[in-house]
Amino acid sequence: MIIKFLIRGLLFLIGAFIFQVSLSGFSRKVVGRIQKRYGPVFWQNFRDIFKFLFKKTSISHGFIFDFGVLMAFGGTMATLIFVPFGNFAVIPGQTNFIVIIYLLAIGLLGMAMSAVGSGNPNASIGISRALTQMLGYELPFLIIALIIMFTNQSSSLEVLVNSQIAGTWNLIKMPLGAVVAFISVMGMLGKKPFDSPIAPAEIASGPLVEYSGKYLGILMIQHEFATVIEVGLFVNLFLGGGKTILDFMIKYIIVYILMVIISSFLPRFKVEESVKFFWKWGLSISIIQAVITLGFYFS
Amino acid sequence: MTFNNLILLGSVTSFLTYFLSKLSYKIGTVIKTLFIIISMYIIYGNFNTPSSISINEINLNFNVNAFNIYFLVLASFVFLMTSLFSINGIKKYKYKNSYIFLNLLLFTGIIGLFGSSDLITLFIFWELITWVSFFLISLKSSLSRKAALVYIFMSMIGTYFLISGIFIIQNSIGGVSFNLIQKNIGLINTASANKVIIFFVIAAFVKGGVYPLHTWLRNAHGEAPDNFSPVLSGLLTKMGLYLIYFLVIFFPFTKLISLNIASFPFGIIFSYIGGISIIVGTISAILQNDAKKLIAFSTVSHAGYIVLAFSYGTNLAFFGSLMHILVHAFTSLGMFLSIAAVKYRTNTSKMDDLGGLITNMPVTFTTYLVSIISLAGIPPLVGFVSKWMIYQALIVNGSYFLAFAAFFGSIGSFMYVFRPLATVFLGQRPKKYEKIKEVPFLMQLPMLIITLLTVLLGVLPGIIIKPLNKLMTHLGIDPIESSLYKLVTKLTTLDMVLIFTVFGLGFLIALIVFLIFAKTTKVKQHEQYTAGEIVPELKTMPSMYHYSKNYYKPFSRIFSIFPSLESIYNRIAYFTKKIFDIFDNFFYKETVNGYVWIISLVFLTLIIIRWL
Repeated sequence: MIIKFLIRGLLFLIGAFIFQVSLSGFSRKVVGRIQKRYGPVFWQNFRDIFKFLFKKTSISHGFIFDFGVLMAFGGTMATLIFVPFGNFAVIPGQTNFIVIIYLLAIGLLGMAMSAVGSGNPNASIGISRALTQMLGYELPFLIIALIIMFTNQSSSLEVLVNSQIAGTWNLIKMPLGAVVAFISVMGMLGKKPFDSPIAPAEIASGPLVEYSGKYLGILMIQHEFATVIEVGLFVNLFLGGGKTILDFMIKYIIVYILMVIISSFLPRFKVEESVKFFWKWGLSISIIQAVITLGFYFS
Repeated sequence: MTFNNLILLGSVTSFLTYFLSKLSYKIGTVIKTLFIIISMYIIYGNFNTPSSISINEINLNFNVNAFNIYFLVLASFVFLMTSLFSINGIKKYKYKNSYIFLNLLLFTGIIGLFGSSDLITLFIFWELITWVSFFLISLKSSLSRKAALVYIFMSMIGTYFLISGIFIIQNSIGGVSFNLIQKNIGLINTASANKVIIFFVIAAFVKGGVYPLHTWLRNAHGEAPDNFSPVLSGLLTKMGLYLIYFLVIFFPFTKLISLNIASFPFGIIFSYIGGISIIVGTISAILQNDAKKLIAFSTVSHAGYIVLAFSYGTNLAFFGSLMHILVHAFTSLGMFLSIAAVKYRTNTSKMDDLGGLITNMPVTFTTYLVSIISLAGIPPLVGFVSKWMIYQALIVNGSYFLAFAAFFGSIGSFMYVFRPLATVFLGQRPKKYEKIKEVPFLMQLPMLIITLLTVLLGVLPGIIIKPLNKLMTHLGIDPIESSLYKLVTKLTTLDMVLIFTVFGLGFLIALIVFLIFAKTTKVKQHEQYTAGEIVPELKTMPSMYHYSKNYYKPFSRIFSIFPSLESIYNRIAYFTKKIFDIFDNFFYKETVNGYVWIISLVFLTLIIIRWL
């Protein structure tokens, strides 16, 4: 029983890794074409990650620097286990939305701790920006998620997906909310215009400034897993998940590439601007959506 | 020994320790710790045996029962931890014996308050605690004296409201004992019931540090002696929340208990105030520069959670708030004790002056880390369980504003708790703190206990849920569905052991991946990326490369134009003072003008009286 779940989990992690890393490699090509470049091959990101992992020297800044990386990587993998992927969930019945949102935070905390533990002020600035921005994008997203959970009276993602498959997608039921959530997910991923935490030209890639070798490799994998979780949440909540894994993957690819295309056109927000943006537009639109949906629900 | 004798013994012992600790303060602290352990045993032995003390026809009635045992145990636990900590921790204090004396008296007061079985007894101990804590806060410095004055003034406002409420109850019910109130609650008319609820809640909000009346907290928490701050935040604010708990049970103003006596939707109003309290506390905490003041504002936000959930009026929310009281006591103990440990060694809690202490104080760091993870409500720690229940209650009923406030507090807490972690424990360590050692073992012990309990209760929440469920059944509220590690609600099931296992396995895989690749090269603290620039000063003055001042500067820019409640209160105080200055100048200044006024006024009064 336990071994079965272990194998399922490991296979899922490996599958998600291969899928997302090739997709993000492909997205580099898309961005290249937008900028009238040829762009790298789609397996370029595999090359990058494995090159970093197999580097002979990697600099460590002490215990918390290592521990934080492990916490980030482990926490993100643990979170991924709870996200259903089409009709596949590693542990059926255990796809609680609130658990996912909060477990994701443990990865973030580990990352933040490790980065600040390096002792570089650029990393600290990046983390302070990342946490500030988090207060921006999480709130509208959570309010929209709350409405969905309330109208379905369940916080299990599987139930939410099944109700969408049986009925209509939440994208159609609450279009305003879907737009807000889409932008919030872009904020979560740190895509432009919300990339001030890792602004390379200003603060030397922010949190990542002191990482090298296998640390950087592991954090790149961690970032890919976090992407799977966040985009996967959007697909599950708004696009009806998927009847099969393939169905899910197609929706996922469309959402992800759309985000990449949008972000490649935009400049960078200052961090307080992005928080203000999320509060001013994101929050107000999500509350309008809440009023509309709950109005329909109660009448 | 019966409960009343425990109270008497406590007061006597506290006086004795004052003189004993003149010999050596360690004797006093050890006696204090032992007394707390003994009284824990006595409280346990006196379950459901009422007792009373009579002084001059005033009866102080006590009864330890299912209603208050939870609070009594929590109070003893918090005191035990802090008093273990203070065996070594008060070494540098100026007034050691007064500290020990007042602390033990305070413990007696708290036990008396939670153990009381009528409102007058509760009120007497309420006042005792207020005064004792007033002296305790003012023990440290001139700054703390001012903070204590603000505290006592605001507490007094609350106290007057409390006693007025008690009088109204006495008039309409004919008694103030808890049993009588429960029996004759129907006798009270709605107008008086509304008054009582408002009066009690004002008193509770002052003591609990809930939004519009929270302004005393910042300075009182920040300036109080470091070993006292955890008690102040983890326990004394719970006094106010205990009053709300009392109201919910005996003066039901929510839908939780079928008999709703209030004509006004108080439950909704109070839960909204709680929500505002969460948001205000969170934002203010983010903008603080002193670690202790930061935690003080986190107390405001967490009191908001508890008020919100208590007055929300579903059994899940009620349970969540009961549990959150425990969680907040644990986290504020962990956070305040670790900051106190840092201050014990470095003499400061200003985040701007510290940095990189993790290598020197690993145990303190671990305590702080576990406490903040629990505070931010991240699984698999105990903080997640209580927050999860509150969220479930809010989501089931679709209260999106309250849920927004709760989410705001949770994500915002991530911001403010991270700041001390980053600026005190991580980053560049200043040269002068290079040789700092970890605190002595007796100070580490309470921190370790709290850390272990936070993890244990998080993985197996059933340990605490089971007695709380019993309490709920006793109070006539439906218990929640749970087993040792599973929680079932309408929305979904939560399995803490599963989450813990998955997280553990994830960590294991991460460790394996980490270990199979090439070995790492350790570098020194000052070897940093400096954008190609060579910075020789970095070795001698590492603090120049430490980012801690104005950590959330961009965030504070958003709130630069908002007025603070504290300055509004100060402005009102200033305005009032100016008005009374007019009278002051006329009547009380030693001028001929003033005497003439007074004399003529007296004559005028006499003439009027004669005429009548």
